[in-house]
Amino acid sequence: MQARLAPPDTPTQDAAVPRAITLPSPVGRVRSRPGHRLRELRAPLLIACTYYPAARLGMLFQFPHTEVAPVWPASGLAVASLLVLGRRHWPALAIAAFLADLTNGTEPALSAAMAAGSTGEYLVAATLLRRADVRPDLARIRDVIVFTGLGGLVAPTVAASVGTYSLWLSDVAMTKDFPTVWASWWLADGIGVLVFGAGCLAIWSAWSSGRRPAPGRIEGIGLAILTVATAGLVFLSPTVSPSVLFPLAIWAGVRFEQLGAAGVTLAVASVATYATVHGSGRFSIGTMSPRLLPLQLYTVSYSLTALVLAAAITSRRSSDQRLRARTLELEAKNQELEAFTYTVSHDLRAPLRAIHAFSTLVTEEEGTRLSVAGARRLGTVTRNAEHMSRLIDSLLGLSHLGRQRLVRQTVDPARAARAAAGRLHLDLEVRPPELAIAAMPQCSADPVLLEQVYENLIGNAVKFTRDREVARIEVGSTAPRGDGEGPVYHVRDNGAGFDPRYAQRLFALFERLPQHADLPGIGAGLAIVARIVDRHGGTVWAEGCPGEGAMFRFTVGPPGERP
Amino acid sequence: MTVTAYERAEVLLVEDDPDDEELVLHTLLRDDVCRRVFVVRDGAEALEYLRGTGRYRDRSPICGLRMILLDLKLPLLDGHDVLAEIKTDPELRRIPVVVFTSAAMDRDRTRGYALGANSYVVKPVEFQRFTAAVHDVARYWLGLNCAPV
Repeated sequence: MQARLAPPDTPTQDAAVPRAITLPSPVGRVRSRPGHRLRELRAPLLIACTYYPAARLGMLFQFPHTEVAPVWPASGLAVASLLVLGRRHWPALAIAAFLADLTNGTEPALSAAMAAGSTGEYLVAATLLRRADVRPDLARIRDVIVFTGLGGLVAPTVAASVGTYSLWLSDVAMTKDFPTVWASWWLADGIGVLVFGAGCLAIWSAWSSGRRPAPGRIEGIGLAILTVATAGLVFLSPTVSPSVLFPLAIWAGVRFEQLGAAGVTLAVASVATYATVHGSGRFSIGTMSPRLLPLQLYTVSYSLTALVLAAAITSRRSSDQRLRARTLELEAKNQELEAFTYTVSHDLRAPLRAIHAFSTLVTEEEGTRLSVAGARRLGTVTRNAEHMSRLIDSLLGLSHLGRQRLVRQTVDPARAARAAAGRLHLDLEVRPPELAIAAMPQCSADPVLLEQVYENLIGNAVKFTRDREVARIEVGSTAPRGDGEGPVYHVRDNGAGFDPRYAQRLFALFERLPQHADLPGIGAGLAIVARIVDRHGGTVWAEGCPGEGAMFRFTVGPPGERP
Repeated sequence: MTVTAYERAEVLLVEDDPDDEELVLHTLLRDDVCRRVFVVRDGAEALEYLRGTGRYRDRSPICGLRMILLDLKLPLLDGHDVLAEIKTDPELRRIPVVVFTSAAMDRDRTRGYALGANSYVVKPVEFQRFTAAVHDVARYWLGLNCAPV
């Protein structure tokens, strides 16, 4: 504890202000050239040269003539520098800690012991935080909480235990009992990590990312002046409650995020500590020791308020940014898809038209001069061109469906089914099927697309009932399957049916079951149905058995759904 | 390809694809819908022909042009640009322009009509439907439709 104690005869005003702003990024590991060796030394030198004044600054915060320091800023600086620059630089900290104690008049053995305890604390803190995947920018609420827990509560037990035990073993007289000294040491280090560590990390991440807070400089200067002035006022007066400073924490955290939170916390903590130590403000009541706990609790809650708020704001902002980036990406992808569709529609169709046209022309005009096999082969060319043309058309239709705007209205499905059936010209069938369309509850859907669904499903049913003596097609609906769902609509036939194992494959594009290979079609109808139903937020499925007909059922999303 | 004396063409076909050109001409001649067709291969040439500039500086005034069959995807000057030029030219805007293209996209169609196309026909891939389309278009614009005076 001697380390934090200003001996009565030692002037404390020579302590320098820590300059953590100039933390460089980690240096390269190439060791072959002498220049690199010098560069390797930059980080440890920087750590030592900032730690030493920070330690002396801690001594400035001490209550005169006591061994209790309410805050130990050096612990924050040390943990932050190990996190940012790498744990391998711990020897620099050890040397600086030792020198700070030694030059403060502590005997060498005790200085070494206390320096070892402190260095251990910093290493434990940095290791635990790394393990816990705490990002140095403290931009997530989780990071702030883990940083507080591991860096501010757990790690300081190391230095407190080693330091207090060394003091106890040495011949330095302790004015307090062991637990009191341990607790003060632990709290001082913890607050140091929480307040100054977070401050250093905030400054480092602002500097390394190059990102400046969104609000302007004028607002920043205004906040700084107001914070210092209010803090001064609060802690000079014994009556003003320190809670009036909390709105500033909110302002700083919300507007300036980590940098603002760290800044106001540093300012308030410094003014509060200095004032309390020198006997003014709300916390300077009674003797020295009892003042400490309220001050420390205040500092911790102030710091946590600002940091958690800042992290919440940062998380929201970054998730907003991610969302915007994803939206842009999606738009780009959509455009790409559209360009692709365009290519398919234009560039593939033109040559296909030529293949089809000229093979047809040759057949028409020179067909008699061709051999039988030659004519058949040329016919194959023509037929395949036709098939490919239909494939391209359905591909385009399907892609058009995906981009088309859904115009939902209240629709009578029975009417849509009747209109679809009308377009199919069922009366022109060799054996027209018996089509029964039941009354159905209305639904909210795109009328054109719903009609398309019925056209494809009824058309399918017609196709698969052609070999039946009496083909029956029934269109109807059943009650909703559960709360918040719309009715289930269906189209049932007594046709060829299908193997239930393939129920899902029926809806895949260009998928045709082998037993239906002789029937016309290219396997796009049900894919289009699935796409339309999907766009409505509904589901479609098929039930059936070979030889016993099929039933296609679908929903069009929750009732009353609006675009 | 000059099918007739070009000043007296009834149809101006703006088409860069020789295959499509052959198919259109084949249909028009076979069905005897129209024998007076003049063909240009790009947009710039189309405008030169219509305005009597450039390579067509010395042509006599055109008479009897009743339809421009315009492909959209053209070299040098795009079909949309040609359409815009025609429809903003007080001398040419009266001539009916039928866009005849493979581009089936909504935005092409919208843009075509916005620029003043009189009709928009997508070239079918299958030959029978293609010839039917050419036949119907020519029958309508050269037969049924009353040409501007």
